[in-house]
Amino acid sequence: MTTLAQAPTQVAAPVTGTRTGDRHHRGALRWVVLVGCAVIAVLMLAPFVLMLINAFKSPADYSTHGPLSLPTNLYFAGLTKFWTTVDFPVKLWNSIWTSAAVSVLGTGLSLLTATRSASAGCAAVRGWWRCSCWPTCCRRRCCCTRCTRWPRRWA
Amino acid sequence: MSVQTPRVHRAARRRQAVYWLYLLPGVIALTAVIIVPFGLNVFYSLHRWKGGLSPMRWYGFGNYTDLLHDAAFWSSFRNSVWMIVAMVVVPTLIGLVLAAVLFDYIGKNVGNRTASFLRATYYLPQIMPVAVAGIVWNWIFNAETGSLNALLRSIGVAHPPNWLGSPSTALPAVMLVLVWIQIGYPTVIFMSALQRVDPELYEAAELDGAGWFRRFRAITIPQIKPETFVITLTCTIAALKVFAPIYVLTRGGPELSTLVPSYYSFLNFFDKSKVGYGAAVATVLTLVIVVVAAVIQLLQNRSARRDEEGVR
Repeated sequence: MTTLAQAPTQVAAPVTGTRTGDRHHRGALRWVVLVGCAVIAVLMLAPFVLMLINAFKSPADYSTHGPLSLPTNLYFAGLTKFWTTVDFPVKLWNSIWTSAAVSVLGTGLSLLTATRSASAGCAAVRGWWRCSCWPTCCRRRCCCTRCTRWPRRWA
Repeated sequence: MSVQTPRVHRAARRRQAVYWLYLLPGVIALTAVIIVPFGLNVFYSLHRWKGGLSPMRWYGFGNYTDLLHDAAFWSSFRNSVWMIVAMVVVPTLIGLVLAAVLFDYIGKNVGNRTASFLRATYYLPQIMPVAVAGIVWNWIFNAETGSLNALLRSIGVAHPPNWLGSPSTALPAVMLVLVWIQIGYPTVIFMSALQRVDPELYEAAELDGAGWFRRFRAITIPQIKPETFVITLTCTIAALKVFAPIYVLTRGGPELSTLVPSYYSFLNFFDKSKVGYGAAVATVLTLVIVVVAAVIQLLQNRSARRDEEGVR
């Protein structure tokens, strides 16, 4: 593997795994973890997938094959019927209108009443916090972790 | 810079007076949206009233003493504890593990794009409207044609349970849906929290020979404590006032096994038209939420203070 003489500068490079056997172990573990995460993702997505495949199923298809099978042929009548009977564009417009009003009014209101939060202007940058001792000991409002003065957490 | 002439002082004070105007919209909104409705609610809760034009009769604290002897009211708060388990405890733990795995392992060993993709997948139930999610899950849990039971039958289970229809399985089923909805929120917050943690701390610990779990316990968990508190606070409030998932999934049924306070209040208000009683439930719920939120906030402040003192 690579020489360890070079100090790991950017990422917390794994110091372990220098033995040759470890590399394959890590490779295998990598796939196990990835598959585990993918399984969870599939479980999270399952209701969406079920919804999708059954949206394109005809009633006859649904009653004969049940909810789990793929549709035998694409059936759009249900969707079009829904779209027209519910008058979906109107509902959609109501939604857009409501959310626009809420976001504009809510933002406006909170803009007027906003107080400066503890970490204002500092937390946007990674690794920087509002310095709680400013301005008594630190010259900066925001300190990075390199600041030697404690406490360096936000006030 | 430190020179302060009286003129500057006066100008500053005038500017301060203008600032009070900024407070006006907020105060009006607070009065119209919070204070007046809450006052009315307390007022209603002191009366017996069937709503509408029917007469209001003074009942004093009668509604509240009635609550003390109401089994449904107590069971609704017992279910609230389960809601906290399903919306705060389990999702926060799962979210912490998922965020740590995605950020520490997948992000570094597989790729950042994979990690972002998985994170987006976990977050998807959060952006789905609760009404839609409830209908979909209602249909998945359906005893006859539901996907879950179809799956169980194909495996070979002869009599799969009627998930939302029987008192013993309804609450776990609702909790499962809530966990599914909730997982994405702590995962996303924790992942952004982990990005905030300085990698130097990990490097130093690693040079000292700390393993992954040791680093996780000694660096990650203390460093992301503020976010943990935020998640606990917001999710606990959401769990105590949960209404929509119950409304679309079970309507408090079967046999009150999934009844929650906010739905019980709604039930009294509109279905049983016992407005005063419903208002009393709502008032108690509000007080409980305020107290719980205050306690969590207090714990957070104390922990933050202790951190600072410990560091000093």
